[in-house]
Amino acid sequence: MEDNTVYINAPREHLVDLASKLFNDFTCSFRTCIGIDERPLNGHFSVTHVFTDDRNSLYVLLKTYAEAEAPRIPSITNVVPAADWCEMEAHDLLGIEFVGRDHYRLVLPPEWPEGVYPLRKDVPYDYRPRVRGVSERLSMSTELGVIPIGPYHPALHEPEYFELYVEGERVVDLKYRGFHVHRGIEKLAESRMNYQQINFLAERICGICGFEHSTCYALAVEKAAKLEVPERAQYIRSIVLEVERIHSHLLWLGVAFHFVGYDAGFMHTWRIREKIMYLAELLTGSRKTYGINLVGGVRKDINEEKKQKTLEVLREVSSEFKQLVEVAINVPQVRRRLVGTGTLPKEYAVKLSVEGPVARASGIDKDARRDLPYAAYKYASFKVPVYGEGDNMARALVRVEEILESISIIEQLLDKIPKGPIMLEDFEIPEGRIGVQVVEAPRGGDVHFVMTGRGRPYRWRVRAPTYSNIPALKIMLKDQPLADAPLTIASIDPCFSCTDRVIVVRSDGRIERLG
Amino acid sequence: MLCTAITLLAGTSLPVFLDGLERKLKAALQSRIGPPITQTLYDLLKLMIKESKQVHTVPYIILYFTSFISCALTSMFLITLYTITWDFMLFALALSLLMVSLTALTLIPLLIPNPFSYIGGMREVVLSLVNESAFVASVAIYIVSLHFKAGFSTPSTPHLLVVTIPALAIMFTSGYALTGRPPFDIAEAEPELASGVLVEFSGALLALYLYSNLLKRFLVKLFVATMLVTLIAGNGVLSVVLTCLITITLWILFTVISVTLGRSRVDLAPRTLAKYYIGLFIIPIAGLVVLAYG
Repeated sequence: MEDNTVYINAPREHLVDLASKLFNDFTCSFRTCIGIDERPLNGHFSVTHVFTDDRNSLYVLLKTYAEAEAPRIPSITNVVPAADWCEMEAHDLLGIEFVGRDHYRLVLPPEWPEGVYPLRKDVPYDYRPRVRGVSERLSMSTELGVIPIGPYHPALHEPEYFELYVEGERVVDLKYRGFHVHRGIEKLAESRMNYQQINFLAERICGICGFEHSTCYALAVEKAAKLEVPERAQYIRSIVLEVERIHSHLLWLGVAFHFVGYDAGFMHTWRIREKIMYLAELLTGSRKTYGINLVGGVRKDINEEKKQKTLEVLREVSSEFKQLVEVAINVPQVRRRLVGTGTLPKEYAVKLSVEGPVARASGIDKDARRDLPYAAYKYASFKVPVYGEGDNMARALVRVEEILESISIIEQLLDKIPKGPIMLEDFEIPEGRIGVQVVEAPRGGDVHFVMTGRGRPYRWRVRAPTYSNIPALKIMLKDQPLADAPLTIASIDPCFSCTDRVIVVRSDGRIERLG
Repeated sequence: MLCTAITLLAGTSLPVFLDGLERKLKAALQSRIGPPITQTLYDLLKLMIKESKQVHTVPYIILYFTSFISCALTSMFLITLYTITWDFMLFALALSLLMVSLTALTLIPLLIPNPFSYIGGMREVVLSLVNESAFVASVAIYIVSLHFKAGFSTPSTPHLLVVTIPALAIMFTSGYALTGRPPFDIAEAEPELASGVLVEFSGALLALYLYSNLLKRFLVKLFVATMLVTLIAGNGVLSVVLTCLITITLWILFTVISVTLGRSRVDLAPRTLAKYYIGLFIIPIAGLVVLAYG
């Protein structure tokens, strides 16, 4: 055990039992699993399952090794259903076989050649296999109607694909295909970027919650290297994190109103959000993609003038927001469309280890800011809103309350912010250390795992909260009216840029430089 | 002749500018600047010069027919308001033509072999079954209540309270629902389906379809306004002016109402409307019976 992290090296034959004990007996949250090609280090592959014991503020890393030639590790999906996707990702990207389950292509496109595993250390980041284009036909059903949504759809802000199987106007089943937006971020970082550069790459994982990612990455590296970051920098990080949360939730609320046809609510919510964008620019110099995080601290300080202006803007936002919510949430059509739709019962929410407002709306009292305190959150007092209904309205109300709590958190931190430096001077990051951090993004817990290397991470794994929340859609959409499908999909506040990290190669072999 | 031409031009172009006014008003209520009032005209003109991709199995002639009927009706309303006194038969004829036009417009998407169009069309049909019936019934009750004494005349207070006003309330609601504004804009619910009834229209055909919908909105209000005015003011210039003013007022009122509401769902909207109409219809029907025997 080291600080708040428990390391368990699990023999393969005991992995499933240990995972079951952690998940079912100790009710730890399953966060993600990380496949690592450690052949250059010790001749093995490994898989690390990350759990968190939220009641005791502990991270539990359960690590298992596999042979280099034919890496095989027992699957834990029978006891931890939430591990399904991360196991398949490790299978796709590293070629690790998980015993006791079916394997399918999850993140790599169907035309990706067999036997090529992009995240292995012997595959260079600029390797481009020759591929042949493959067409996929829409699933045909003679008994059910099939409604394709995506990959491009007015209701979706990023490419993803849903096939809704409908009987009349009722959804009876759902097929999801994602991972259309992959930029090889992990491979890039591990191959050609240094520690400080990766902050800026991490911030570009997502256009809405980018700062959460860059903070999570910086904290993971700082934890691995045991760096004492100046407190003032941690306060600034927490303040900007909450600004980003307010902005994200306001954006979502506006979009949700638009989906139920209440465009007046959409426009007014985004009008209020404009003040938060101004605030972000005041504090960081940018409306979005702030670029102020570095390993060891931050690049921009908050002076007294900025502090006063921030408090003034927050007072305006709070007042206007409360007025808007009082009207908007009580519009009859908004209530009818949100209440009782897209319900996710608590038992499924627990099994799938959903995150963020999705979890809290289904009665799971979980928030990394309180349970696994980081940055300056331990110095702020705040409530974690929890609702038990699990429907779209509950998810909306959780976000509404979080906006008001975030405003309170920023006010508290601005009041208490200590004087001092904002950046650590002269530090080193030793090799071979592990750091894992969970940061509560607007959508839920971001998880960044870092295994330090020479000048750059040996392994960097990112798990965004939408990764855990998407599988819950199958339950939320079943037996729901078709009209509520986009609203229910939107209710998890999906961020597919965060979720998709598979290399995409054009089917005709063209190389395209993305972004 | 000149007056007729001006009336025709005004009648067929007014819906376009009223839609522009609606967009401007919505923007103001939503704290936006909004497009200019002529934006709808610009949009339609631009669509007219774009390529129209036609699906060969779609009977677009129905769209031409609907548009022609709507234009003819608009002209008929305005010209006849000026020239002759409306009576019961003329109202019945106008209402029948209006319903034919509305029904044809509703049926077009069902003839298009596209699941989105079909779903949108069925949504419109379900809503129309409730709404158009209520609209026709409320018009009938309204006219009957005013014709109760020989010739059209202002009804007595009991008639007004028990029959005329509830009929007007139903006419107002069903008229609003017929215009396809929130919460009844479920046919073309873009965020829900990627598209609805408009999916197979493009270019000039799309412009014609959109214009037909604008005429439909205008006609519904024009019909209600005509009934109100002719039963009070007779015919002539005053009649035309009053009718147009009431139509514009109704358009603005409907805009303000639509801004405050969200979109309903195809299973909720008809049920809610049906309950509302049944509740309201009991009052005038019972009232008519009581007053007849009273």
